[in-house]
Amino acid sequence: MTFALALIVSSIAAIIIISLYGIAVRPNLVKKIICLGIFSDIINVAVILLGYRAVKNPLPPVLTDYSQKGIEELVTGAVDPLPQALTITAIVIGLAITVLMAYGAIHIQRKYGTVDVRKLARWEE
Amino acid sequence: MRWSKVKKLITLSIILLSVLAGAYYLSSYLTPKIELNALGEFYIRNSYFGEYSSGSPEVVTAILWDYRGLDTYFETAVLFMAIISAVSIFRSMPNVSFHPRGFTNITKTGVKIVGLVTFVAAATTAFHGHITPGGGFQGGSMLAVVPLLVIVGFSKKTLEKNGFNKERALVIRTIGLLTIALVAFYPAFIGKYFMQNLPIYPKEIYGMLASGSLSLFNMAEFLAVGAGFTIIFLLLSNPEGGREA
Repeated sequence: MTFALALIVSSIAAIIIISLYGIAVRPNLVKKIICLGIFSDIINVAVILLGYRAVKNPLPPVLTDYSQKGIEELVTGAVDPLPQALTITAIVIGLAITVLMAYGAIHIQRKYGTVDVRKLARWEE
Repeated sequence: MRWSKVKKLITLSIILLSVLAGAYYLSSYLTPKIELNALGEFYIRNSYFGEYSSGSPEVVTAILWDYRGLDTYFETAVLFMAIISAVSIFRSMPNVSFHPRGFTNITKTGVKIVGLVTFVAAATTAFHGHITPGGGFQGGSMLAVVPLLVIVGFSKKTLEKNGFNKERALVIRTIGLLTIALVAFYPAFIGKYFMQNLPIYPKEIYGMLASGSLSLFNMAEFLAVGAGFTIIFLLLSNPEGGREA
């Protein structure tokens, strides 16, 4: 159980490092956008992991039994609802930002004929 | 095997080994969390019963539109700004009409069936967002898949010929956003708090659970997000370079 949790945490760290590498090193603008998408998604996974509880069969935070007993069941067995609510906000804003960046990349491609940052900055002349 | 492939394999195995080693190292330090946070427990205890009830058994929707409603309100504003800026960037581009034949009849029939099912599922997700998992954002994102399917299976022209062009989508999106603004500002106009939910909006309508303003917000967000993403897909499916394709 602990090893599984540690494996998830270390994979999240590895994916964060790989996506930051992609954003910083890859010269292609489209690949930069893809890496930024991976980065924001893995941050969302990390936030969801914050709300996880190591109980047996964790429940989603939705009341199905409309009574005080149902609420006690949720308090003992449900995951934290707050990170999920924050993640929805992050997902929608991330999608809007990705769309805007994709439009920028499309316009750069149409105007200059390339999305390679080295050629755009004229490093290879 | 070529040297570049060997280099890729070596890099991948180094990453895999370091992940495993990191997990082995971390597993002695991590303790899995058993207790619920105090804030999470407050939301679970209060969302349906309780003194600060929002009238919804779905705790995430209750947090999203009631307890932390201001966050979501301004997030909707961010979405509004992003789509408006995308439309204004693409304003100078000619709206090209082209007549591709689309896919075969098998694909078109499949698109019709899957599109209908997706639409119904999206509407269910959004309109039951205050009872079951789901809500306006999720339903709206699913709704935006339907025009995308039509664009891919038939063509962009088919979608526009059947009356769903960019201007109509902008109108639908504006209606959704205006509804959100009106529902949010109405309690402030009658002297209560901004985005207040329960005593002002009814918890039940004709015996059906409405959860106050939560269902209104979900429906309006469903329209706004679905139409907004449809605008994005319509703009992105313009042919390359504005040429006839």
